[in-house]
Amino acid sequence: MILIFGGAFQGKLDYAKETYGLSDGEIFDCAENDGSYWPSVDLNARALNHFDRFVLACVREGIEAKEYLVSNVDALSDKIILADDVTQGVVPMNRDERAWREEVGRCLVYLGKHAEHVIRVYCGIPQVVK
Amino acid sequence: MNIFVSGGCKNGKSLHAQELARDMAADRGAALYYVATMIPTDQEDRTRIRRHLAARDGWGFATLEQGTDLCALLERPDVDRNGVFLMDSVTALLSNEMFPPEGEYDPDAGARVAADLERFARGTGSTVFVSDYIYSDARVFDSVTENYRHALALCDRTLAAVCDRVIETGFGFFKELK
Repeated sequence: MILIFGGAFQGKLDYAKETYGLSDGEIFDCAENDGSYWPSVDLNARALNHFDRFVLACVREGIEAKEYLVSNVDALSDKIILADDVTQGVVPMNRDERAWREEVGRCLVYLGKHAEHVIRVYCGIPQVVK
Repeated sequence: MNIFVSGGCKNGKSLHAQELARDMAADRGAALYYVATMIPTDQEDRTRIRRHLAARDGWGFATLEQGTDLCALLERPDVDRNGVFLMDSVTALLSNEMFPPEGEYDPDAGARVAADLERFARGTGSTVFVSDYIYSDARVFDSVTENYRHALALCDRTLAAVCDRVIETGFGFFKELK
């Protein structure tokens, strides 16, 4: 598993495409069914983009996103996971957003532990964290 | 040398950038300019500007007021392009261009401002740019705010690519990323 995180619009997807030769068809975008469908990820995709939005969908449906990760850790072991780090801003007034912020933190800790490589992208500059 | 500095709010970006600019100018005996980007619209802004002016007092900065159209400074006969410039901030410049106080919201300002910033960096060769890291909130923003964040990220990434040094500020730490 490879985990790529960073703030919004920092160049995570560009980095993943360049570094791992990812094509659009191999990427499942968790933001596309945000709020509209039961949260799910396509475990056949090579990469999961906007993973934070999967967590948001889980929060809205009352599902523990981290429990989902624990149950599916084997299926996720060959994935490239991209996530916006939404944990460093103002504590939101809205309860779902507060829960989202914390659950993304817990999920990224878990993914970081299981990933072989962890990369943070800042202003288009990759930093290898692990 | 062009330097890009960014980080969260109130953690020492501006002071660090001021020191970098001052030292660079002192090394070469070059002119030292502060590019003031804020267009004051009320008393609160004017108070803030007075505070900033007091904080720079004695540092040797000549203040250039340029809230929009940054590269107009390159054409001014009284501005030495070989001087050292502190451009604080990219955030305010983009905000002025995207949401002009006397005009309409310009959704496409990002690409134009990013190109201006790159031209200014290349045209001066010695600018310290200060921006704000506003990309880690747990919020699904409205489309206008999201467009502004996207545009600022474009400006930041353009500058990070063109600048010789990229520095992320934390609470008392300065991380050299490039």
